Amino acid sequence: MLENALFYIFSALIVGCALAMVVSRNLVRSALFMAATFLGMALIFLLLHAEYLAVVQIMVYVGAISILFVFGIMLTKHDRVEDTNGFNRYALAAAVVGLGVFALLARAVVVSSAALLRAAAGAAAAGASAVEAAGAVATGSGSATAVAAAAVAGAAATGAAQSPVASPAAWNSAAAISGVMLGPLALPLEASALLLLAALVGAIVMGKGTRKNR
Amino acid sequence: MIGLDHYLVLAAALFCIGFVGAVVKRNAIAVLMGIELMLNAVNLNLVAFDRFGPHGAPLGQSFAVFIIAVAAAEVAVALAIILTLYRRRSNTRVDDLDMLKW
Repeated sequence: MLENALFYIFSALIVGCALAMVVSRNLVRSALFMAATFLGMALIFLLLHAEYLAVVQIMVYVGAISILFVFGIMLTKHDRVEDTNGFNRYALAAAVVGLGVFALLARAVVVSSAALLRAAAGAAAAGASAVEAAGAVATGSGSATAVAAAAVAGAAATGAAQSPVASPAAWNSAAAISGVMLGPLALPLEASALLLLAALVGAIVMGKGTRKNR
Repeated sequence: MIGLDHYLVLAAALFCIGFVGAVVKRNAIAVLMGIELMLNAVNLNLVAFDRFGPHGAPLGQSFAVFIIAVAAAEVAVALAIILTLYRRRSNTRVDDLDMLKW
């Protein structure tokens, strides 16, 4: 119950701040609303039991990227800060297209999740009846495996549909992620380190400028 | 009960808001903000599928970490490009950046 209330509060915060970021005509306000949106995303990650990602989100997005944006705004001169963030002539068309895409995506999600729930309910009912039927005729030793298989099938069908993965109390998302990162994903991790290095060098070279333009 | 579909709808809303922000804005920095919002919506999708999907290693969260790294690199390079453009053209309006147009 508390989770539901928190989810709706956080979603309202995120969507409201994101809309304010797009609508605002003041670039500094847009940057502040963007930071608030990222903070709300970190709270949603906490709801999803992704504690490590929530902390990374706060450190990287709220702490680094937002500050980088503020520096970018500061280093480019603007005459009147109230009118730094205007719209171009595609504003109305883009709003219509965005609403249409959102409607399509939301409809796809709702329809497919309803279908998934129906299928899971049917499979669970079939599994339960199979359990009962197999239990009723279970006289020999061979039918015990059939009972177990049917029960597993029913449980898997219900579990795959909607219910979250039951996370144990001692679940540590950082430890689990590090196990993946240093195991099967070690090569992509190294590649991303190279990418960050290249981005660092590129940003410095480009930001420094040529001698003439400095 | 909050299920997977709630998170997916929230991510879709964020993605579309980011898309509109990236398309309608006149300032290059604001366009970049919209792109960041879209990347964050994808992160939310990955984490939600990781939470509600099958058991096992948290691959979705690991992918989200990679996306965050790529987004940080992208912002650093893009802001450097915007600063360089500002030095040359003394504004950051995307309407004026048509040097590549033949």
